[in-house]
Amino acid sequence: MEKFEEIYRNRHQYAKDWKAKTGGKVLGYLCTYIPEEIIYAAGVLPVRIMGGHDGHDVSQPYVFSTFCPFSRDCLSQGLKGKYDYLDGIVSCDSCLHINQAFEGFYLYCGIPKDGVFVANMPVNVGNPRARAYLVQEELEFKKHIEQWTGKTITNEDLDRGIEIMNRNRRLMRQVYETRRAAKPPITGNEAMLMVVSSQFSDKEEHSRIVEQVLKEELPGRNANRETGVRLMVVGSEDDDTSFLQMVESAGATFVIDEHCTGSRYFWNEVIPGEDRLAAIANRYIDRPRCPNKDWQERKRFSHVMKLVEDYGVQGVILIQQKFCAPHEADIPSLTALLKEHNIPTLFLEFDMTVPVGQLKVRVEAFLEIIRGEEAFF
Amino acid sequence: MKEIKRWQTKPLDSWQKAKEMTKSYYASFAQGQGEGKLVTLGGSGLEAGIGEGLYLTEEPYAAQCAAMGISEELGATAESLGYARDLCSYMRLTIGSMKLNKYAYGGAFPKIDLVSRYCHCDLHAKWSLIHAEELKVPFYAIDGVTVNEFDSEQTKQNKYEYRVAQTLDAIEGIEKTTGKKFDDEAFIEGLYNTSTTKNLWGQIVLMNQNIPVPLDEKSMYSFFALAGFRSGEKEVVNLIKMLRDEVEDRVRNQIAAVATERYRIMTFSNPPWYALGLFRYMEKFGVVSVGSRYAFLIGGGTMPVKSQTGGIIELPYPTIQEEGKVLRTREEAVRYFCHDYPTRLLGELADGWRRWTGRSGMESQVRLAKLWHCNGAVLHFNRGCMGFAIGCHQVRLALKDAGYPVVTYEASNADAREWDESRTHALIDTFMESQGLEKLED
Repeated sequence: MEKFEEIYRNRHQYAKDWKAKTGGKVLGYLCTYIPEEIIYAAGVLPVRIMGGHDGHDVSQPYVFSTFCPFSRDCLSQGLKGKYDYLDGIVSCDSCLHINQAFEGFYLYCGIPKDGVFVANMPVNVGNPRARAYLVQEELEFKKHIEQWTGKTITNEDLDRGIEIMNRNRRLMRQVYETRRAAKPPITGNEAMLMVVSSQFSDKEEHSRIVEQVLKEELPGRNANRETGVRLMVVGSEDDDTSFLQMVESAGATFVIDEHCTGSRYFWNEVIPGEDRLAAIANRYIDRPRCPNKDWQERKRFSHVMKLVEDYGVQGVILIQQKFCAPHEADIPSLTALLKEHNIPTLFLEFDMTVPVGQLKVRVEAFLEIIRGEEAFF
Repeated sequence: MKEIKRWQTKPLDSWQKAKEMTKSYYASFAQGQGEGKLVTLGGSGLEAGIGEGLYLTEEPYAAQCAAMGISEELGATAESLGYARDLCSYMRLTIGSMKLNKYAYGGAFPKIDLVSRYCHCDLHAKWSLIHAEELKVPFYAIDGVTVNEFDSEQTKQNKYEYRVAQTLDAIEGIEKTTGKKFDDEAFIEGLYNTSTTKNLWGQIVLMNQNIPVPLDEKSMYSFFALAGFRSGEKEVVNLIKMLRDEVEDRVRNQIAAVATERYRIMTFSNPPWYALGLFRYMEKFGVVSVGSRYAFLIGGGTMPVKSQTGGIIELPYPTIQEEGKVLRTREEAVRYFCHDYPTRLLGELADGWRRWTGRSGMESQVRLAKLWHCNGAVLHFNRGCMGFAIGCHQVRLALKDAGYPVVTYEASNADAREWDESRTHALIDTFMESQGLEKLED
């Protein structure tokens, strides 16, 4: 299990070592709607660009202060040279804030000009025209990557890319299945580290580690750990390890999550088909939706409720990145829905640095409320 | 004090007409349902064809609420329901108006039959969805993908066809839901009118390259919502034609918007609608604003072309007739609309709308400063609209690198609680001092 945290904490060195070992290119991405299957098919390593949870004042001259802290933190890492090993960067039709970070990266962080891509993605994934459009755009993206790498991507390559991603998704689903148990063998923090480390590393290597952990470490693990209150965390990008650790030391366990550094990232697989690009497109259209893409008919909320039911969730902590508009727009409706189903919620606003002490008071009160209801039965 | 040249100036004759048209338009919503008309909330650009109905576009309505001084009440209502204060201010005001069942022009919030939206920012669709859910009416949204500098020609074509297909689907869906046939003829007529309105607006804003500026930015905004959001109406075409003629006359006779014009600025983003007096404050220094890409119909009035000398100039977007096009069928109309709406309404800001400013967006801002003979820039860093705040620093840096003095101030386009008048005035005072400009009047 420690390997995941090791990758997480040494993400940049990992990527540099991978480059040195393979001679391959590394492509940074900011949003999980990027079709990594195509990137793997080209023999390129996709790595997710994330923040460092340290001061991001260096981004002040380039990003308006009311853009989300995550986007500013990502750009700050680029401006500080932490991503100087990237050969390229790719964005998709993500949210405005991520788009701003993307622009900052390619303008100010020394990304080679020929290594800047946009893998266009429909925003209204629910509309009947979205699939065909996405297939067309994946073809364009594939051509751009072929031109960049000088390598033609064959169907066999795409099959390989699909299987690399699918295998990791399958394994992570197996890991997440274990969290349904009365005594989940991993904590929410550990699960998040597993997911985030997969975004920073070669998925084939990551899958080998996950397989080993599933077989050799998880059975019987945490048998003596008190699960406490079963919580779900809902939010956007979140690798706030200090927060999750704090909550899970206060008599609770995050048994499931709904965010893009969690289950949203890997939940569904590509269902292979003759038309590989169509198969990939279907996967991204049908995956659990980011709020940015959850219109005109909502699908996200029913997915959240299913997770609540399947994982025996007793309470939900909504981690709201300050200024994250798509998530903020969903909060009132989602909170009302959870309340309708008698699921208590705690809404917390996050910045890049997490005031664990202050939040602990609120979390403890929340847990007491949940436990307090049990006392009446 | 150095003697200041004074230009002749006079109020706009067409201003009163604009005010009357705006007032009567909003007043009509209170009676709309009673007259048996279909009332649409949103802005999909299809309104002319949706059966003689009335359409209330949220953004200009929210701007009116802000100008009328009720943004605090409406915003606070939305926030009390859990909508964060940093969400789009237009969104919060319209949600507040709906939830309070309070229409800014008196009475209850209009009875809405349908919500339709052309979506090109993070919140258009989500905000319209909230309206539709609350009002329990059908909702049609078009994913308004825009081009960017990394798109291949094939991608541009893919995006265009995607927009066309969605729009045709939306029309069919609206027909099914409302039981009313989409009026293709009215839609086509609306498009012809829109192209004329935008062409006229382009002519008007280009005349602001003149010295002195004939039409200041604040005055532009009395016509802006009409030209931008009701461009398909014949009455609006006539009004903008009237304005164009008036501005031409002002140029001919050297009638200035600001009598003491001695420094020209450009601005950025949608303005603080409740504090347009800021423009009048700057005029006290002899400063006139030529406008902004936003005021230039969000980029839809003019287009860049290569001049004979090889530089880039701007010309009004041609009308449908000038392009030699003829629209006869729904498909032809939709195809024109799907090319025109995102690329012309959003113009070069298509790069900066829901995406990022992009190199062409930055070039466009510097070009505005150059062609409109600006001396400096006063940029609104907008807390109330992420779509128009994206790239604000890139614009600032581009102007600065091009040698233009720049001052920035933070406010919100529609939430007056974000306005700090004394602080903003102090920033302006300092900027003016740095430019050697003293106040000419108090």
